[in-house]
Amino acid sequence: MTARLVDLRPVYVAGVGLHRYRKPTDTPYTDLALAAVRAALADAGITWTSVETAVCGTANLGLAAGWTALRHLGATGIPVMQVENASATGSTAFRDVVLQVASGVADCGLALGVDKVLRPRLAVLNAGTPDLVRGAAPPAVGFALEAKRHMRRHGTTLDQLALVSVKNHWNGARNPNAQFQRECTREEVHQAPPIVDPFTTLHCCPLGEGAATAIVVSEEGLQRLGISRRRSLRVLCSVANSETLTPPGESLHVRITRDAVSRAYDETGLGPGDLDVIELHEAFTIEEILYIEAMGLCAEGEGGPFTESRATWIGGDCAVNASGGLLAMGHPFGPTGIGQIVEIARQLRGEAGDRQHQGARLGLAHMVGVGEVCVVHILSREH
Amino acid sequence: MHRTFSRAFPAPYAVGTILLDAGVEIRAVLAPEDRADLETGGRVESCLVPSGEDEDGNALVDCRFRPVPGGEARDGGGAA
Repeated sequence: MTARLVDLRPVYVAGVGLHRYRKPTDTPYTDLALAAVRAALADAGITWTSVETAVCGTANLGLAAGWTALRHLGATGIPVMQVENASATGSTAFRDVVLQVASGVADCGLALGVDKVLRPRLAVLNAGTPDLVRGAAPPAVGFALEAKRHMRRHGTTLDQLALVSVKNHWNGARNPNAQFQRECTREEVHQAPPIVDPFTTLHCCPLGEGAATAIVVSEEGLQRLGISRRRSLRVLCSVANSETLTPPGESLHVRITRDAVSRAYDETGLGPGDLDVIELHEAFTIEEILYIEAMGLCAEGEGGPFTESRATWIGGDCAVNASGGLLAMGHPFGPTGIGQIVEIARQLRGEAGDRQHQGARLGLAHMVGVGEVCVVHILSREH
Repeated sequence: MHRTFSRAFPAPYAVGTILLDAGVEIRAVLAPEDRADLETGGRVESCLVPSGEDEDGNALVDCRFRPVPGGEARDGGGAA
């Protein structure tokens, strides 16, 4: 019998920090990383010497990127490791720190996600088992095919897909850490340069750089370090999975999302109606529609009309991608999953400024990544 | 597809989800004689197309799928 996170000792997010996501610059990645780490330490009100373990998530930077940045804060001798899990890299770094603190091997851990725009090397290309499409089918193509299937099966319209981008750009325009801080109209989404039918550039997330940090502590850590309980968020579950054989006609991404989120609901006793904010992986507009259905916010096939009803807007039933999501806040790989935790923490604390979803108490973070893999966390405001 | 991601596949080109008669779904590059022939749900067949030469000058071929005129419609994934 395996343990759920709630069977282990309580774990809290006590501090969060970001370096703004943005288009590529010549700034060293270490500057991005240290800005996010210092912001998170200040947010928690602790110093680097209190951190007992650190995990760096990066997809592109190479060997020992985490330590090479963190040593500037002091060589304190703590365990430091690096993880890569495609788009779910940051989520996986966060999960690892959560599990370390929950297990009792550390009272205070730090998850850092940082990346620059470098071409990631896909291991599958060196695996000796090339597939039929190789370089012809980057992720945009696969999700374009899923979009067309959803449109044909369920009558989802291009206007409804575009509205996901409109909503998330509206949110991003209110997020000072978003890569795109400009609203856009449905017409602008339609008229943007085409990528792959039915997507224009505004249906697709940008490339960018940035950094995000979350500090995770135990109950003992909160007390010993004098961290504000009022601003700390309980991590209720941590679920990760990977693809299984999936019947023809069913989306792998939908399957692993439904499985991971169902398990998160089972472990916490919560359901979709309990969630106030969700940060989910919408690298392409269709993904938000697929995943809100898979998470049970609406019935299968209803994601388009549900988005049009404004239920997923800030102030609606559940604010989806209030940060701007991958489409507007950006998707720099390593930071993305941790940036979701940052946004949820700010929403649950009531510190999200112009994009605050009033009364937010429970938030879910979801990333999928090439593999395919899926990682899900649920956070709760305790007070 | 309107953008070139790999030199081996200059844009524009088409990729489709194909439900094989054996019941397995795959994704593959389509090679229609005319792009207007591509139709969601249309039947396709595999074919080999030239794809360059190896270092010894031997011709290489690659697998593509092309529409079968008048083929029976099924619920595949469509083309992008």
